[in-house]
Amino acid sequence: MLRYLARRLLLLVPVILGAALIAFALLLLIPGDPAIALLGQEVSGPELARFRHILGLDRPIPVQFGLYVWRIVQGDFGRSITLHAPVLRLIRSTLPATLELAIASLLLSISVGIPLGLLAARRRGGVLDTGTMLLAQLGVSMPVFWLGVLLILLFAVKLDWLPSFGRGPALLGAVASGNLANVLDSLQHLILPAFTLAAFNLALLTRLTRWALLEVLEEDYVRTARAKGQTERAVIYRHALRNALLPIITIIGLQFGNALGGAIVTETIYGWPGMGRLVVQAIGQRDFPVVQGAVLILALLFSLVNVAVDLAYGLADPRIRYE
Amino acid sequence: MIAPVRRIAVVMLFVFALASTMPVRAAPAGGTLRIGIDVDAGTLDPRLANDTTARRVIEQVYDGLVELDAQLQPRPALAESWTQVSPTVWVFKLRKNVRFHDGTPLTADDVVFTYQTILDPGLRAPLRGLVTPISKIEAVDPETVRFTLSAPYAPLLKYVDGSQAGGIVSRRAVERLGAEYASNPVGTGAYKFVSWQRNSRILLEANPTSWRGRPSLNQIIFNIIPDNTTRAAAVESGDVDLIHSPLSPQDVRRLRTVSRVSVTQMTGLGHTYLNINQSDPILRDLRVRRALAHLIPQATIVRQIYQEMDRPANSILLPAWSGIYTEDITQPGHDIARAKALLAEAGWTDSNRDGILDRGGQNLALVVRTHSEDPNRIQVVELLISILRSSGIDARAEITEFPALVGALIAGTHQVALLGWLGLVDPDRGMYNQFHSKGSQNWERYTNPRVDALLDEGRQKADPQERARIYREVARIITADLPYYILTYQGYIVVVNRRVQGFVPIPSGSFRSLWQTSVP
Amino acid sequence: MDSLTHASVTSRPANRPRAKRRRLTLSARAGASLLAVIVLAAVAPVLFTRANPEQVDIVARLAPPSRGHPLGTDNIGRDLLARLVYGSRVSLLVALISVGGAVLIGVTLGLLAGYYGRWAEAGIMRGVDVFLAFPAILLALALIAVLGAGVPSVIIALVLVFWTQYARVVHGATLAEREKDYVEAARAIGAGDGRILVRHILPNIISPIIILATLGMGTAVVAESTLSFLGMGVQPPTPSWGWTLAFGTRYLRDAPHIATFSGLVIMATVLGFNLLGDGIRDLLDPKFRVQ
Repeated sequence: MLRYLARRLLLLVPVILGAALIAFALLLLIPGDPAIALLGQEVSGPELARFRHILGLDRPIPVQFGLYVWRIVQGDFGRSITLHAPVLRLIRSTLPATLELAIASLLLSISVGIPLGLLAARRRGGVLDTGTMLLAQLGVSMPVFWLGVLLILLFAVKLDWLPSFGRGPALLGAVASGNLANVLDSLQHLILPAFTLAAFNLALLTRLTRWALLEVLEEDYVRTARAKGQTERAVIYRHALRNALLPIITIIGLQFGNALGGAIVTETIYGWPGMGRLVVQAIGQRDFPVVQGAVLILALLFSLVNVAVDLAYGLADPRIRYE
Repeated sequence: MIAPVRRIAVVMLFVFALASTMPVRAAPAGGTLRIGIDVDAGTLDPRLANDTTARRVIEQVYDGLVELDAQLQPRPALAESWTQVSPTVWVFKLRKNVRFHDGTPLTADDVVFTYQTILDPGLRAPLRGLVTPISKIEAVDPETVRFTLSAPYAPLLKYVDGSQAGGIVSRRAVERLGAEYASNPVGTGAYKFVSWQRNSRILLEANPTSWRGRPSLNQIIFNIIPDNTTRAAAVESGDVDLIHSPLSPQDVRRLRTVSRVSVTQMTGLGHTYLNINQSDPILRDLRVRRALAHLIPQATIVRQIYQEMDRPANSILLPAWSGIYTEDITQPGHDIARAKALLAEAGWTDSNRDGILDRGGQNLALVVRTHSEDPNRIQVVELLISILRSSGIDARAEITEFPALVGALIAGTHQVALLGWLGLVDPDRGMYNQFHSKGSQNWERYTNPRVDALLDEGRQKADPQERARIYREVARIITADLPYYILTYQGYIVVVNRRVQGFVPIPSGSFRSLWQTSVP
Repeated sequence: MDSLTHASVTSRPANRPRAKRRRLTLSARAGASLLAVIVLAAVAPVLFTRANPEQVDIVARLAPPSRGHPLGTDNIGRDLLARLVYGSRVSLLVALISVGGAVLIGVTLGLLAGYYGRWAEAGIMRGVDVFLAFPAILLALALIAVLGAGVPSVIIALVLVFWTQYARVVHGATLAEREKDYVEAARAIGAGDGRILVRHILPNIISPIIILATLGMGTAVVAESTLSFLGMGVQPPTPSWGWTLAFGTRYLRDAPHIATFSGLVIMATVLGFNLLGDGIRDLLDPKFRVQ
């Protein structure tokens, strides 16, 4: 198990190097002087030359890439042009908000999507099944930002039940401190963005759960169980669900990645102070050090999640052994 | 029986005395004001600030030597008094016993340090251009500062306002914190900086020992909400207490019907204009520029898109510049027939009958740019594009974020761009850098020796009548040459929850009155 | 845009072949009909509206549906129906070219990686892994930031985001096919590698490509509208659904018809591709799963 983990992590190295290459290449693709892109418009000539030398921009491109990777390894992601702060610190201060949102949305889609899929599978062909599947089909077809705006309009403005923007106190901190008012405040802010972000994954998970369960229910051992006179309930929960879990775990892992990406749109709609907002703003402001840093960190996170999914997959399936 | 009563009374008195002298953190007397604002600040170092949010925060945390009142007249702030010793020498006497938030006293040395660093090109202060006529600045004694100018400079007093170029920084704090000073500001203002969560909120708290006296509010929270409509929804639902321009007209109209808030509208200190590149081969021809101006349905745009939130502009002169503004100077009006005649005169006709005007085998093509942050401007551009196209011009829009737009303007690669100026406290601020051939923001590449001479002269004249004569003449020339077409005078709108007391909106958009605002 | 997701393939237990259906399911046919209407709108807009999508009537801006404007007008008084009908061109064009480009690149590289193995395989599949390491929308946004907004940039960005799923699927399928007898047979009669790949292997692995591409078209439509919503997509005066919807959300309360109709059109198109894609899968390759 540990050896497998080590190997998987080792395999990440070329991937991350490749991601760094893409982040680095972004800068080469920009029309104009990369030094200006990195330092901002109003830098004067001699200063520009000095920085170009410090950053190695006067060296051949492969050397530049090497220097870039070396700086990253040392934890130097550069400084933001517009926010006057180290990129790494900006990322560190916004990442928790994004993780909170992504994890909340994932929990929401799991806790609603799987039961809904189960229900639909058990009532296959019925009104409930058809209705759920129709909703799920609409859910995967609906533009996220449209849903977000509609939800704000309904719950924040028309009904005035929930706040229309922003984030409350950090949820974990609020729970740890035991301050109920803070926890409530935090949850109130979290629910709309988390649902908006979850909608697509939720619909997908519902469909997948239903499909996976129907597949398994056709298997021989399930028939055997049925033939032995076990109740339908027992058949589903004791036998079928466990085996249907494998494809579900795979997709949940992918969905966490999706949630990280989807957060970019959701955070923009709800003014959620996470990495998505940071990166969209940086792109708008042509703040390339931040764009590069965020792209790289998200890629790293994304890849680590994939490793975690593979591990979880093995835990769920006794047939898989890590060697 | 008497004794216990007296004892209670004494205890009560004691409690009251304590309550009135001790800063109470838990139960705020003046409460918390939650402001909804459109962009995050870039930096909170007043010398480097370059956006409106930073200015709104900085004017709470810092003070300038003077501050401008609602009529744009200077009144004492950190400087108790000032005298113009000669046309080029100003002496400022500092207020006594002013302390920075870290407890250190304000001295003349801090003022000297502030201006010297702004003047140092290495700091890259965006408003450095406003103070370059200062040739020497020195501390006469710990409470006196002397400015020596290279030439007489009439607008100086307006630019040393704390919400313009002049927030005074603590030398010791800057030297101690270095680059971190930008996110840990230390000033003398009525509110102290507490925390800054990027893209989310900036938190300030009352500075009980402010030289202005204890401010009424305990806390100010600046919530950053980029989308106009979301921000309007937040004040409507009571999630924030105060929002101000930029706003979308349909939101303003709706907010006027919401009982929870009050809407105040006034003429602001800015305009929205078309920047017309004089070095463009097509637009170099004055007839084409005039035709362009004739094609703009100014009144319709103001009525339909801005819904009277802004006013149609006459010229580069703002109504707020009293004594200088006049309605007599006007730009070419909406006249499509005249526009077509002018284009034909300039040689642009549809010779190949494809519906697009051409000259010498080349189509009349125009790209109109604006920035994506302002939905009103995007709609104006969309409308202009459709009007230009129906007049035979092959027009396209290019809508990018503000930095990309400014990048194109600086590079001079644009043809026509729609954008605006804010905070024009003085005609010099609205024209010098924009139209002087050596001006730092002369993005339209306009050169006119007569205008250069007038603008230089205007800086040196303090006499109101002289200034009026000079700036009116510049405005007349600009109206004739059309490097700018001024579309609207921007309105300034503030929407405040009715719970909020004592907030006085100022046309410049300043939140200076927050020190006496309260939320019971 | 969450739907800019990575595809992976899982085979369901294949011990009981399902009876092959010869016809598309009812829902797939419904999807095809939806798409037929939208394609018709793009090809022959005059069948749907006589109005000019660029004709501005600023005084009638934000007008609700009426006899003159069946779906009302937009933020500067253009006929909304005409905007949406003509807007289908950009949306479908972007989807078609970006998916087409992704298929071309992805299938070619997938075939090469699967057929030749060794260095080609290692290089190409590591490249796929690298691209898969980014959240798709982030990659697209970063590319557009560099390239500048506009239709060509959107297409390039989407091609670079989409190609990996085809490469992955084709790589896997080619690995399985290259060992089969017919490939050996073709080689025995002297067919070259190119001929074997294009004439023999490709036809045998075409099903998953068709399925993926159909579903991918829907994803591309949402992606384009999301990028336009974030201000990085199509530029005016070109009519575009994403642009119209983005502006419609600002007038949700004063003129809800704009966001409602433009949102519905996007959703209907995506729904059409999804239903059709599911149906084609059931028809061609029921074992194939797109996640």
